[in-house]
Amino acid sequence: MSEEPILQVKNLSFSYPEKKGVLKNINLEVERGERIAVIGPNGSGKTTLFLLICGVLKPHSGKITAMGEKVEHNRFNPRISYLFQSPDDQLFSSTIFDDVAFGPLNMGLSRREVERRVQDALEKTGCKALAERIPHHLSGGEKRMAAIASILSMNPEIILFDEPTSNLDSRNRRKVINTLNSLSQTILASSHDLEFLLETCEKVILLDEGEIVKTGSIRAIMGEENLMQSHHLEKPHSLIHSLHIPHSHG
Amino acid sequence: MIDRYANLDSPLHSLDPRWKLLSLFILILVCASVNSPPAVFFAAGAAVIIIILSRVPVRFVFHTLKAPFILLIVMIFFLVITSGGRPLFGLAFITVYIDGLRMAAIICIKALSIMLIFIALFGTSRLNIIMKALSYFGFPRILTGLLLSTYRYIFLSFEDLEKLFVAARLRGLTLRKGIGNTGTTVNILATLLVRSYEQSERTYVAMYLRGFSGEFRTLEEFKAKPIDHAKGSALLIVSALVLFLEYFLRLKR
Amino acid sequence: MHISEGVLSAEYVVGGYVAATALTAVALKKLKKEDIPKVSVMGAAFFVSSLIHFKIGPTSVHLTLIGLTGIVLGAPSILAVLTGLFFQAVMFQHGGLTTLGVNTVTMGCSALAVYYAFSQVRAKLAGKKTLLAAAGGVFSGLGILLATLMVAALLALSSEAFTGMAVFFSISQGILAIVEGVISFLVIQQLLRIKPELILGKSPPLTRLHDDR
Repeated sequence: MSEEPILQVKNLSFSYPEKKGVLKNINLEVERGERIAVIGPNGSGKTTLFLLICGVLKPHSGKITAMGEKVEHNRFNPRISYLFQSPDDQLFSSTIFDDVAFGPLNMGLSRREVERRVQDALEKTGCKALAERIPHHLSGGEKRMAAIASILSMNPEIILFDEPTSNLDSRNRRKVINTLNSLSQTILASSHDLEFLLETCEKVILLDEGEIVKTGSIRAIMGEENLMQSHHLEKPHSLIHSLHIPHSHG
Repeated sequence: MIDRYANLDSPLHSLDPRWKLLSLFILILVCASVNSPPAVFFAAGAAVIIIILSRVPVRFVFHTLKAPFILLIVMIFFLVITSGGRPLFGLAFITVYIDGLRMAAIICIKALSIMLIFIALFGTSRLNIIMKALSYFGFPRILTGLLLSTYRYIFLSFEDLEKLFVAARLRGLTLRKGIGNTGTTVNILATLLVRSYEQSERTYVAMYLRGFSGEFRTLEEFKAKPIDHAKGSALLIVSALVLFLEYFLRLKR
Repeated sequence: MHISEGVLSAEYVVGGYVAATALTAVALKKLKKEDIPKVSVMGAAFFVSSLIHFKIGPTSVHLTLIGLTGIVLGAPSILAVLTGLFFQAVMFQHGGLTTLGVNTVTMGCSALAVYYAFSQVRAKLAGKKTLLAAAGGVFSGLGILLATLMVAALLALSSEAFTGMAVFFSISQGILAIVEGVISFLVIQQLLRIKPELILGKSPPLTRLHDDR
């Protein structure tokens, strides 16, 4: 492809004060519109990587470029969004409407544009009926969809999903999958729900102990039983052909 | 929660929130400031009519008033036996004073009026709408924003606290014992504070990622109709009447 | 710990609001944007904690945790006190709207006084955790007494007839001061063990969003 990658991570390293080597020399290129799964055991650095990409954390060394610009620490960039693991972290306003409008309002958009984007985002996530509700009164699934709406309203180009299906029942998990598949944005998703990733992503990055162990086609890598097991992961059931469990698409 | 019936339909529910806030807040202040019986009784009558107009269920009103009134009565009891002035009767070492009784009655009726109007104000609008009306009057948005996000997190903290109590109970402590047990209470408090602290860090990141610059912005959507002006003015006239009763009678005396 | 609706006369209601507005304005001016979620989330936690009934013998008291609020939040604690009192009024009709100003001033000043006293000894006692926690406990207890004195003085000043009531009030709050002091001491001790930055006020930059929870 002649087009420049939308996201480029070069020689990225990061440590927390009390934990060294959380990420070690990460290199990564993502094309526009790609959907990338990020897998790895707990503590492998998935969330840290996401927080670095969206500018919350400052790299110790290395460089992150998104949409042709260097990602600056501590500068609001609505083009890159991050979905928290827990929607309770994401939703801090007293109504869903206010929460979804929070980003667009801070972007300095006109009242009309804000309203349009909020309605749009609520519609895309099926949250229209929830607009005036307070987050506390929503179910886990509703909260998750509302949290997704609150970032979609900013029209980001890259979305980082951190465990978007955790604590969801199968119906709501399906909703998240369908919503994700309907998006045209570039997506990075981390999850322990490998079946979910198989349904939404084409490529995968396997992280362990702060290093990228392997990248490639999601079916190929997840299908390698030995590789998966050596990083404390399980080969997804839908890829175990001997069991003849047919793989279904949404 | 006080705004449980905020979605009903009544003359008060439909009143423009800015008018509602302004006129009822003034009425509350007026109620607090008068002391003569005619003014106090008139205000109480107005408060009762307002709460009836608001269609907030009577049972809910009683339920809401119960706890603060018990507290008030306890305080008032001490007033009645310690106020001094003309004694009404004595029982053993307790003397009940007429002046104390009179004051107590006035305080109770005033408190009742204030609480009823308070319910009519906060019970007929959602909190976020009242906050928007507040910022319309120049109340700092940062404060309304703080109030609203505190509101959101009170529910979350409460859930956390309940879970911590359940966890303590599972480890063999009954709720009653748990509450009286200093060690458990301390552990629960400390855990709740630490969790909230970590929560606040994540919340800041969530706000930062959506462009938070220390200001809360909102979309205003108020439209006052002639009927709002009429209703609001009528409520202001009630306040004026209460003040008139207070000061007119005082001048005559 | 607060004055009920209907008790105070107009001058005190208005005076309380004026003083509370001044205090709030100063706090807002000093508030950093990073601290805003801290005030709201921690404020909510303190509010919820104050709902715990703590049993002593046959009676039970509500903790106010005013001193602890001051120690943990510092100068912005006045905002947490204001929001806490507001929600006490809105959710339980305790306190109230007309007394919100006065109550914010008495409780807020108490929180600020505890914070100030504690910050004086914090650096000196940083190495001696038990002593530091004990200081925090003592200050918290004294903070309750300070708020009690202010409330009692206000009651007594606003009407002579309230003097007796003010005395009874003060006595009952004396017990609370002791309980608060002890609980604050223990909670501070615990926090110094598990999350010292909450007490020592040296919060590191936002670098510890846990990878897995």
